[in-house]
Amino acid sequence: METAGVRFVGDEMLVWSDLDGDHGPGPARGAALEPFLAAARGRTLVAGPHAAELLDVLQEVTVLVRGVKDAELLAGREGRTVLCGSPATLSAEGTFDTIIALAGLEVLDTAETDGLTWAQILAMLKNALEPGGVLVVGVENPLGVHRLAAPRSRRTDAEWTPVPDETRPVNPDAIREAVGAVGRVYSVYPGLEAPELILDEKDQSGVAESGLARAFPGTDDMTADPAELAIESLRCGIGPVLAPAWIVVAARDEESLPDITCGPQRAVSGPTLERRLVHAAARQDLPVLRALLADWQSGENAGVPADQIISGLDGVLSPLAAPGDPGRALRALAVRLLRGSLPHPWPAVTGADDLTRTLAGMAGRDIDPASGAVPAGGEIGPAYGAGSALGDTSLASGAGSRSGDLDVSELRRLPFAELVADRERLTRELAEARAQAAFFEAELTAREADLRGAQRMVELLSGKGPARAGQAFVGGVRAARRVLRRRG
Amino acid sequence: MHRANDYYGHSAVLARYCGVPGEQPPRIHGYLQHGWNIGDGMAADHEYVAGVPLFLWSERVRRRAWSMGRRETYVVGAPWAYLLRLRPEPPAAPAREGTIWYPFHGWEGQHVRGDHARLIDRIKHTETGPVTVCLYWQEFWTADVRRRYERAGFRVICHGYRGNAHQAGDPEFLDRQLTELRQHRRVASNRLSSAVWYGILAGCEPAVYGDPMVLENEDPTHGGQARIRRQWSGLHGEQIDIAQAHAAAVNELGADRMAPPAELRQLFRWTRAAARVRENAL
Repeated sequence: METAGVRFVGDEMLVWSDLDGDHGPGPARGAALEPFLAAARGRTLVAGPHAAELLDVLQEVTVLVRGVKDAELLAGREGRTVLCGSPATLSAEGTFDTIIALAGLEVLDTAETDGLTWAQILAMLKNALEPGGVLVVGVENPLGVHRLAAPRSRRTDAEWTPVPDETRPVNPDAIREAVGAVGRVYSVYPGLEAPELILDEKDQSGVAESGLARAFPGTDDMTADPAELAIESLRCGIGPVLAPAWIVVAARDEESLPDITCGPQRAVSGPTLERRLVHAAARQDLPVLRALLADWQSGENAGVPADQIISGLDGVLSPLAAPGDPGRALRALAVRLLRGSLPHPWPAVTGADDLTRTLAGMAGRDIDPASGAVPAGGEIGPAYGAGSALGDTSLASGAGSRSGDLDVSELRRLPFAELVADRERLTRELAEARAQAAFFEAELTAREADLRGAQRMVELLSGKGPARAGQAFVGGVRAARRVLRRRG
Repeated sequence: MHRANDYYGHSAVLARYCGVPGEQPPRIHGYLQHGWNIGDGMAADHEYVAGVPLFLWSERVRRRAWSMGRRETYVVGAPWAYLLRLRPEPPAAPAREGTIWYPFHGWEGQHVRGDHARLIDRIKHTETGPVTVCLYWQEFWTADVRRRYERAGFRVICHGYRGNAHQAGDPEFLDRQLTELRQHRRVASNRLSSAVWYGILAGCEPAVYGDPMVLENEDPTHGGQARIRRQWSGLHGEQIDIAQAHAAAVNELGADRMAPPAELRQLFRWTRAAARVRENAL
């Protein structure tokens, strides 16, 4: 078999593509992976499906893919050698200074082999590596937060053997042991194919948390929010253990390890402001909450979402994003606080708009959560009605319903755990609403009885006895006066 | 939700603090703690409706209330603390003098049994300056009781009506109490009670001594007087450590947990839209 620019090394898959994403998760892709390719030195092999844009980072590279379609697509570029097939005969290609397999080792096997184990594939790659070379391999975590948060999805075409064999390491230490050299393990979120965030193993910073909050695409069909789990795992010091995937960079010794810069590059330490606020809310610590909210909302970072602000130990706030609308930032916090993973202190909250107004109030402000607008022309202060923007429209959207939660920008499908919590809350609120309705009805009945009593008294006084006599007297006086006038 | 919110003019004080206009304070969406107690903050004889917030004075009461099954609680601090914020003591205030003494009282449905004569002797024996005795309105209008204190040479006053289920409390009640307290150097009672805490926060030296008297049908659920004397033993006696007393008063009256006006307006549902509904109804 001959295709221009492609060398077939055996076991290739004829009608197959990993790059098109139709048969499985698609190639390793995304800007977060670029530093790992950029760190390549000397003769380099990129094994497995990697997006063409990533390969473009390398001037000279040998690429190994299993599908013929992918091989043809990648071929024909100057400086690029394309191999197609399994890694079984890789040693015939000579040795490499750098071997990169970011999409994992399983995707190097083909349907045509007898079935290669993870350890066998690793051995093949190591055989092709120069003694002083660098190996970069992606590994999926079978107990990552993505697995804890979601049931296993339907098997794709790529999963002809759906479960990894037992030789695949299942934690960072086992990975280091498997690569058998000095290995640096990075935590990869939300998954190996298209990482949004790659963290150094030791990174437990608030900046990392802030990145995690935005690293997962959504919570569709999930049992829990994976971002929440990832952030909690980081707080508990087991972030790397529960990361959805890892990338190990291995070399003979420390000196040979390339210096790879990834993850959020901010030299500020401390938790996110949101973490402090959520914690204070869960602890029912109102003075701390008020102080944090007032400090945040009175400064230039009022419009930066709380999960994008680092709150230093000295109380200094460092924004990680450009400021937007303060009302929206407060509302995002309200939505977060109502999500239910931790309790909050506010009684009888009717929705995100309602809580947004309370949070603003705690910061000493009146605010319209719909627009974030501070009341037009109104000075913010204790004067009643300074919150003129708390008019009918904003109240109608918030008070008495949770419709305020359904803001388009925050429309979020609830994972199962939150659905259960939400159902319990609704059940409780319905029981409370019924109890209150019964109370109001009893009050109304009592007031009606009082009113009837008062009405009877009015009728009594106006229709009988002295009242009639009084009316007759007044009538008599008027008649007499008329008669006197005519005569006069 | 309940008339008890208007007792002692509590809701009126908070309405002033929140800048809410009008003669009548609007209805608070919730139950406001109306006196210092060692239970869950709420009066045992009131009916509470599920899901309606309980606005409590202190964090200690909130924790206790939660442990007793009360949910939907929120600490706002005592209205007294807000009144002090509304009426800060002027720097050139006249010198304080003498003692204001609050003989323990029950409310309308209760009857105190105790020896007023012996209490009067104890007060005369202890207090060196002029003494003002503040009686609950019920005792104030009981000529026998009132005259006993007057005959002892004390000035006898009453802060006003507390209020009841059919009638709002006197909105000037706490203002009068503050004015009186600020004229006195000491505040004293035979029981540690709201009045003593108020006095401490208003800058009086406290004292708790004399026969605590027995209240008919007193509810012993939370340990009663014995428990109060144990837990705040440092606040009992004729001379008391002022710094310790002040710290305790700040805790018990939630003076460290006061909410800004905008927060209270939102919590109480004292919003402009709610105000319009009220105006239209009048």
